[in-house]
Amino acid sequence: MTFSDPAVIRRLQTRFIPVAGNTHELQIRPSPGQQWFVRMAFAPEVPGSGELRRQYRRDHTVQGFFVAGADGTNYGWRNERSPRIVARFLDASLAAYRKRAPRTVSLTGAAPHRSAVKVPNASTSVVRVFSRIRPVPAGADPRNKDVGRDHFWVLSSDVRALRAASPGDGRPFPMPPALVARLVRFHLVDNVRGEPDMWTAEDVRKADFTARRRRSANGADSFVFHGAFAQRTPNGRRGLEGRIWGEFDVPSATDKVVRFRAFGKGQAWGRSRYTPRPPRRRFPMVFALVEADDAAARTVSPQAVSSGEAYPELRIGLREYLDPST
Amino acid sequence: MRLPAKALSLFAAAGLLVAGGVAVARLPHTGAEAVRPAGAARTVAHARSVPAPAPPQKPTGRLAAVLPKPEEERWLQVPWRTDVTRARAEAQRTGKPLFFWIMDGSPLGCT
Repeated sequence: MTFSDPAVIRRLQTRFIPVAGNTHELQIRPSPGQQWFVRMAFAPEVPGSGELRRQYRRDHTVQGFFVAGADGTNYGWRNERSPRIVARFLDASLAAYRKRAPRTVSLTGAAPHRSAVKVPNASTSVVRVFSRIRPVPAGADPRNKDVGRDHFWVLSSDVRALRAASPGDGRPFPMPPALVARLVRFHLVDNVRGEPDMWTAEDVRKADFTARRRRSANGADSFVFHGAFAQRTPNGRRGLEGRIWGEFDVPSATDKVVRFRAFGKGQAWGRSRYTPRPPRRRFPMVFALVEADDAAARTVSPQAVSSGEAYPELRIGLREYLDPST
Repeated sequence: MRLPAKALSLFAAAGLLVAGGVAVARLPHTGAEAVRPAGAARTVAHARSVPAPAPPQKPTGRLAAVLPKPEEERWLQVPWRTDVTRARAEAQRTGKPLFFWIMDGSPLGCT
C-alpha cells in the first residue's frame, strides 16, 4: 500500500504539502479551482504528461499523483501503486522543483476551493459505510481483501418522514422510500475494489425495509430497523442480495442522528466498469454503518453525490418501483 | 504496478472512517486546515477542559469486525489537505511543492 509505506509517509510529511482531491471536483465540475487544476494537470512536456494523456483518452480521468508549484507549474504525474516507484517519483519531482522554483503569485482574493464542493448542511447526519468481502474466496485477487468506504447522508427530511410514519406505539412501519432508496441504490454496493456503477431504480428488485420507534429514557427517539434487499442489473451479470439490521437515535428536539449502528450481509456477484477482478461466482459481503461527525464527515460527500447522482432528490426512483400502480 | 482507472482507491481503503475517525487540526505556524487523526484533536479539547457530550460507544462484535484495522490506517499519518486554494497559499508560504492525490472518488471518504 503506497501511503502505508514509512518512506512515502515521511517524504509527504516533511517535504510536500499533500492534498487529497476528487476528479469530480477538480477535473469535471467547473470552478476557479478546477480551472487552475486542469491547466496544471495538462501542462505539456512534463514527466508523465504523455502517459496522462493516454489515460485520459482511455478513461476520461486524470486520477493519479501530481507534484506542482503554487503557481501551477507541473513537475510530474504518475499513476502507480508501488511505494518504491512513488518514492522515486517524489524525489525526482522535488529535485525538479528545487531546480526550477515556481513564480510567486498573488493568491489574495482567490475563491476558496471549498465553495465548489458539495458538503452536507448542518441538519444532515453523516453515517460511514464500510464494506468487505468476507471471507474472501480462495484464489481471489488480493484487492478483494480491501475495505470499501463511503458516506451515507441521512437528511432531516428523512428523520421527519420517519417520525411522521411511525405509529408511535412501537408497531413496525415501512421506512420512508427516499431513505431506503439512497441506502439500497448507493450504499449497499460492492465498492471494495473501486467505485462501482450505482444501482439504478430498475436494478432494485427488492427493498423491504421496516422500522419500529421506541422512545429511550434519555429523551431520544430510538429507531430499530430491518431490511431485505436485492439488486441486479438487467443482464443479471452483477447483483447483490442480502439483509441489514440496525438502530439509530435522534434526540427528540432535533432531526439529527447522534448514533447509528447497522450491520448487513449478503451475496454479491459480478463487476462494474471500475471494479474489476471480483471473486468468481457469488461471494459473501458484509457491511457496517456507523455515525460520523468529524472533518471528513463534514467535507467529503457520498460518492453518489460527487458523481452527480440526484442524491437528495432520489424520491422518485424507488417510489416508482415500490408503487405497483406506476 | 499500473493502476486501472479508479483502482487507486484501493489503497485508500483505510481507517479515516473508523470510530473515532479524524478531526480538523490547525497546523503550527501555517493556519492551514488538515485532516489529522483524532488523537491530536482530543488533546486540544482536553486542554480547554470543555465538557463534551459522551460519544457513542465504539462498535463491537460483528460490526467492529468490518471496520478498518490499525494497519489500514497508516495513511492518516499524512496531513492531507482538502482545499486547493489554501494549500497553494501554504505551499507558497513554506516553499514546498504540492503533492496531489487525485481519485475518481474522494481519497478521504470514498473508496
